[in-house]
Amino acid sequence: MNESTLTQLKIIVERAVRPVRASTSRKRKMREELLAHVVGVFEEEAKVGDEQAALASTQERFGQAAELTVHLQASVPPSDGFERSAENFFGGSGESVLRLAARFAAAGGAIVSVPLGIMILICVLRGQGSEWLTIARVPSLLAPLWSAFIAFSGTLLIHGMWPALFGPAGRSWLRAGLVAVAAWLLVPVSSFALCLVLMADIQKSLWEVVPLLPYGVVAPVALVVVTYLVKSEFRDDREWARLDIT
Amino acid sequence: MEAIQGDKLRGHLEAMILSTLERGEAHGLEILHRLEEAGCGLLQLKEGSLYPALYRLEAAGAIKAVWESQPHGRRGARRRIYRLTPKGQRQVEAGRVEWQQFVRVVGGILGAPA
Repeated sequence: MNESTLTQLKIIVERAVRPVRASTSRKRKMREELLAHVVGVFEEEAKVGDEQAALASTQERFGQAAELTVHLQASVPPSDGFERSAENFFGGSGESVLRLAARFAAAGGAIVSVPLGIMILICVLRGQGSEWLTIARVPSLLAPLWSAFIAFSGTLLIHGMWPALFGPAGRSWLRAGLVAVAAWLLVPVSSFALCLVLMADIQKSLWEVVPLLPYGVVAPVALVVVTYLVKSEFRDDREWARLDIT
Repeated sequence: MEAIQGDKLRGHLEAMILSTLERGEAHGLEILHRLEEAGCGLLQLKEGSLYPALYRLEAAGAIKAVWESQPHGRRGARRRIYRLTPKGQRQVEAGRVEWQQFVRVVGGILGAPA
């Protein structure tokens, strides 16, 4: 079977699956299983006829795409809605990277704000609210902003590493290296900025963040691991999305 | 004899799928082959419609599925292998009883008892 035939078989599947409102993971499962099916059917049909006839028979045996879409949609359980919502939040709707990063930043800030707010409330209820007005508590109060910044930058870095390693233009070690260095420096540099604001002393701030540098190596390693883990799924999703099913 | 297809199969497809899995675990295409074989070529099912039924049965806990470990000669796509669960086994048995009752009642009305 050549690539063109495989693409035709994918189109048969995609016509039925693309309109289904379901989570990406569920649609991936449908696509892979249905593709395995139509490839199996095509191989059976190709034994008794030429490729064009085999393709037509495969389509005929598979059934009408619109009808199958309805059946597939009906098989999606209500619980899939939660997963779909989560995927939409994490950028499943094809929005720009900056917008996605801004949303993650807001979420990161909010996630840290909630426990911080609870802690402050408990202190206020105990009559210790004035503690939060001291300079010693300023780093804690800035934690939501710092988390938002890390979430924003982290999102940009992940979206920078993926094309560097697996982009259509081929692998760029220079770009991957630059993104890795940026990931490595992200926490120490942002911590340095925070210390500088609080202490107004470059030397002291530097001494505060120097111990973070060795630990910062974990960031690019984690970035590369995450990118490798999602690479085949991202690539497959893009291939399916590029198919012209009209 | 006329082929059995579409609407006539609705309502019975899930029980028939479960019944084929009593013979052992199978992937979708194999299930279809078993259905065709058992139906003596008179069952005409649009093959894509098998999978929504499989997903419903899986969600209901009547069958379980695992991905095959390697995509043997199918250009990267793996099949899922389905097997009957104890709940599915009970469902097949209940389906047989229901079917016998259905045939008895409708057969009696039509004057063609089983």
